[in-house]
Amino acid sequence: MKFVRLIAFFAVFALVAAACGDDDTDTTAPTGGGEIEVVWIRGADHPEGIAFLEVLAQFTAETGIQVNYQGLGDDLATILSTRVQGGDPPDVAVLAQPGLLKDLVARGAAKPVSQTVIDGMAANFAPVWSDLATVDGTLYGVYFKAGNKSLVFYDVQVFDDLAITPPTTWDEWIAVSQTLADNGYTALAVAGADGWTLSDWFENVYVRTAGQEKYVQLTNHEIPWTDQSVVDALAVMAELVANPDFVLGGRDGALQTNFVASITAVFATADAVVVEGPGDIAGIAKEEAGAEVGTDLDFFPFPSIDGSPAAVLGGGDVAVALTDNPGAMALLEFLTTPAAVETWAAAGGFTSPNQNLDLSLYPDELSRAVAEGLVNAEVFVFDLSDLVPSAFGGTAGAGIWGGLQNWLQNPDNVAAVLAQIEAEAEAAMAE
Amino acid sequence: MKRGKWLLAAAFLAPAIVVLVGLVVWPALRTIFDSFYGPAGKEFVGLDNYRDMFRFERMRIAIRNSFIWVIAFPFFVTITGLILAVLSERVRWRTAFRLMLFMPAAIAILSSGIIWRIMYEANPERGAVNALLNIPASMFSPPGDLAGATPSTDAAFDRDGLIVSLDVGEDGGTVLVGMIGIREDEIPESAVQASSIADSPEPPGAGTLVGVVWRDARPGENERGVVEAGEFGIPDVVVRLIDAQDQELATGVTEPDGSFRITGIEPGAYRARIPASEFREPWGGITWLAPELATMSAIIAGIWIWGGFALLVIASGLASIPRELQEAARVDGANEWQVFRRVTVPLLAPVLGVVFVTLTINALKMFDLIIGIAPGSVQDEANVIALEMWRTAFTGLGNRGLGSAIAVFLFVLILPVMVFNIRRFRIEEERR
Repeated sequence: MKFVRLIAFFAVFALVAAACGDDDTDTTAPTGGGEIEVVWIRGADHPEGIAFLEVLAQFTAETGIQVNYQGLGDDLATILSTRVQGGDPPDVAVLAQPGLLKDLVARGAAKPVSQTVIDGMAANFAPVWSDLATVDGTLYGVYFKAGNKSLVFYDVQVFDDLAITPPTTWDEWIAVSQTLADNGYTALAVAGADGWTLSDWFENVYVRTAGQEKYVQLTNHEIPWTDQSVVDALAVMAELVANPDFVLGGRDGALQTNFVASITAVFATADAVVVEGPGDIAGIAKEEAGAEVGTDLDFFPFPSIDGSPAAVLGGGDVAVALTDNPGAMALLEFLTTPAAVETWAAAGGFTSPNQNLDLSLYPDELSRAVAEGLVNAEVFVFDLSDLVPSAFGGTAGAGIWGGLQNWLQNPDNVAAVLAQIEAEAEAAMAE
Repeated sequence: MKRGKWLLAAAFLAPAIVVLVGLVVWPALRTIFDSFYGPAGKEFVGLDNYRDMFRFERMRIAIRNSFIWVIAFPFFVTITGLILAVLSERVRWRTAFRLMLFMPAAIAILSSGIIWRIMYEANPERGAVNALLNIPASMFSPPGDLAGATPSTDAAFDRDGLIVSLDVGEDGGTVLVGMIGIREDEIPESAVQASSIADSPEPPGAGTLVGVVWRDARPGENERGVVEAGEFGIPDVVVRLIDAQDQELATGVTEPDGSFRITGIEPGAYRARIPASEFREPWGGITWLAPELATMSAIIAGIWIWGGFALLVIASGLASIPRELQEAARVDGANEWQVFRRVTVPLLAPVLGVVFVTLTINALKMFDLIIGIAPGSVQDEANVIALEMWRTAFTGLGNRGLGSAIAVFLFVLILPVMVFNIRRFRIEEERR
């Protein structure tokens, strides 16, 4: 025990020495040791947490900086905000919600990145990824992981049996759903018990019916939620999502179905045929039901609506430094390099917006398609509910999530639902 | 010497005082203090938070639900505990029996909430509660062969089944009844390619009605209302021919190719009916956690959790009641109900009071059960004050001021119950 403390003491000493710009030491690593605390939503026993720990182990091997990792689960925002308030933030936080990044910048908790990180981002990422982590002209973080939320997964067996080809337009999708219903299948599983799945649905429809410009305006609340474009998008969305002939359990059933249940309903119990959502679905379907991509499960890009261009709605995880611990910035620098995530990409279930990451590293068609989609989409928009303050876009039962659940409960009541969402948007944006 | 004594006393009391002040007094005062400040605890807003909190729909629902909890929960749990305690007195294995009923109290409440959320699943294939109710449901009204099917040809449902209008001419008549919305594996195995008899250019012959009931769906292209290659007949469907007065004239049953034939009918307009029992859907289960039912369902789960606690406390009270009084009542000719009502319950009153008050406080503080049991989409409708306090203060933007005000409001609600409890406790003490 004493020995460990001694080492820790020297480690801290070395860190301080390095931080003071003491160049007497011969170490090649930029900081020569030290320890940082890193937090993310995934627990250390979650498959994604385990994969991320491997990335961190590689970082430790290259820099000598020890990493103390904490997986905080869905309470990350809560715990983080409490710790920031208490003056004891972790060194690096990996955030899935850019809204949270804005909150942290507003509180003065996030640290601007070093020039090395800025250069790394410019060399390896499309400008959109730097833009997403930029607040008021200053870059605060690194999007090293991103997902494509414009995917629709289906049961291959049923599509083959009924000779259905995956739809490329919204109207085709409705026709496919009708064919499935005619043949006695439930066309769609909708996870309405989780609000975020509904907001993904809405955003995918909205960016196609209203276009990218309006999407950005709505994100920034330059147009109100009561705008006609929102009303129109919900009317289109209702053709599938609020159609009791197509949705598993009808609208009430959808509101009781959570994300994982919507996946098992398609790939384990065969209660439904199609489910929309992020690329994670393939991983969960494999874990829960042993569904293999290609033979049991396949996917198509979220169809175009009235000739809209190929659009990708994305989500991502951004690493942000919250302390001046030099190890924190070293980790951010490391995460801009393709080498940092090569092993993770090869392991599967992970896609990176890093352009210089070799696409052939991805182990399966799905990951490669998702990654290609991230690089090649004609339109790329970030998940709207992640871009707005988390009180409005990331709180169970409130804001967009709660509003869309209310809408699904009673789709005829669009005006009242949108008025409520608009009121909450105003309150949240005023903060 | 006296000074030394003081020091000694102080030394012994210090840890307790530090803990009490640090963990109870200070946080309580700080909460009251925060409740007069804005969301981030910076600007002073006076009593605004106390006024604002009643303006939110969510909070109003929370107050209503907490009220329901306070009325229903202590009452039902105490009654359940009392009944179980009195009944288990007579059971030989009462210790094991009581231990079993007490077990839910040993489970973390959040876990109990999640257990019940799974048990309350609407689909009888998954939720234990609906699976149990499904046994009688499927016994008394078994699902029909055409469950979930809808017609693709001209037909309409009424109370008694599916009605198709048809005409029988001099050369007989034909009728097509297409069905969609059933899976291929749901029609009997004996089914074969649907009959094209109704399309035959040859008329069926005088006084004869022929028809086909078939599954109007197949892989690939498909035209509605037309019997095509690859579409199967639906066997064993009962078709009743009725006249304008709703009188049943004849009955046909479909062959494996879906065809049926009824002979000996006069020309005229008729209707054919496929009885409603063929279309009866399997029981879908009750959505226990639907917005309107969630609070009731949570209270039932609460009874399961705290019933064992009430049972144990009341049983120990029962054990200390002098037996002679009950015996004396019986000797005087009282029946068991009278003994229970007039002797046992009054003697148990102090114990019942303790249980009732404890449960009332629990009902007001209810939090972890709700968060575990209610799906995200019904958390607004199943909300209670303590949950709303947490959601306001710690989720989303985190309005600490408003959250603190709700906490103080909850404290004020619990206060009279506490005062009542302490006073009764004192009276008990004095009696001894």
